[in-house]
Amino acid sequence: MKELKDIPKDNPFRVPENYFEKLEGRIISATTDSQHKPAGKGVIRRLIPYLAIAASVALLSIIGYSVFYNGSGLHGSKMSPVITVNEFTETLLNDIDLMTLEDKVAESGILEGTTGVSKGDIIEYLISENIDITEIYENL
Amino acid sequence: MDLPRPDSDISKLLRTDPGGGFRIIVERYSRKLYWHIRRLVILHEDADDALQNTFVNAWRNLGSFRNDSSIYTWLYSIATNEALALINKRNRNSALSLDELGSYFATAAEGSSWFDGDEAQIVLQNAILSLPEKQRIVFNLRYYDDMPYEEMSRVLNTSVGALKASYHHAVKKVEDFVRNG
Repeated sequence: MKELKDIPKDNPFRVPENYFEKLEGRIISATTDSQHKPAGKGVIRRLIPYLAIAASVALLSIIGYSVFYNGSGLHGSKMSPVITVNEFTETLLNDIDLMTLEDKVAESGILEGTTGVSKGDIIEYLISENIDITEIYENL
Repeated sequence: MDLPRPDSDISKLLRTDPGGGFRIIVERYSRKLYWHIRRLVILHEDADDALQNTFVNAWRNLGSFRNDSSIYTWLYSIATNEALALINKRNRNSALSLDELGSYFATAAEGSSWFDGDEAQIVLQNAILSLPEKQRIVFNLRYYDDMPYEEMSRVLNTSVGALKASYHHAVKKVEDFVRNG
């Protein structure tokens, strides 16, 4: 039976002979053949006038739509969300991983004021106790 | 003997002499980035492609490099994205999926590939390959590169707490795998 600490941190990967000696030259010739983009001259900047027009059209459409529906009394069941908050949360939690969970907990500020114990420790402890990630998310 | 220039000097040089500054960056970081990418994509040919793409992208986007992040962090971010893009492309094309790479290590010991680890190394690499993608990156950066969590947080755009938890779980999984492997 082996332990991780017994395995030396040697690099088991190898490269072809003289690979690194030739590498820098290859990279330099590959990069200097292509132009680097000067700051602020990107595609987005060239598209700004068109984006402004598109945004104006979209804004007018939204205003028109809102005025029409509010005026016609059509805002009712048709405007209700198609899924409930609970359904949405369940769907989200099916896909959530540990790192996302940590970030969400940090963003929510739920653990602010807790002293001496980090949020990572708490989540880690709960996971080690086989508490489901979904449950942790719901109750923290 | 010339002392190595700090990254801040290279940043200044990039503004006045982009070609010269970039040459220093390549000299300083190409090896480190190669090994970072290689541990993620495993195959030498893929690592070579991803490394070239990393530097081509870095060169093309020198203008957008901001001094509020270090050159090291900036390059590691690009390299990680290139490696992940390559892995995803490989999975889509299914020419050689990550699962199939497990057998790569099993046969590697028989020779002819760019891997010459012993049996324990093969088990360790298979254990690392069994980790989810994000945990694999975190494990490699911490275990092999000794990257501080704060630096890793900037590279991966993830909180330090999440990275610590992720590394902790990755180590536990690797240890279990090695113990039972």
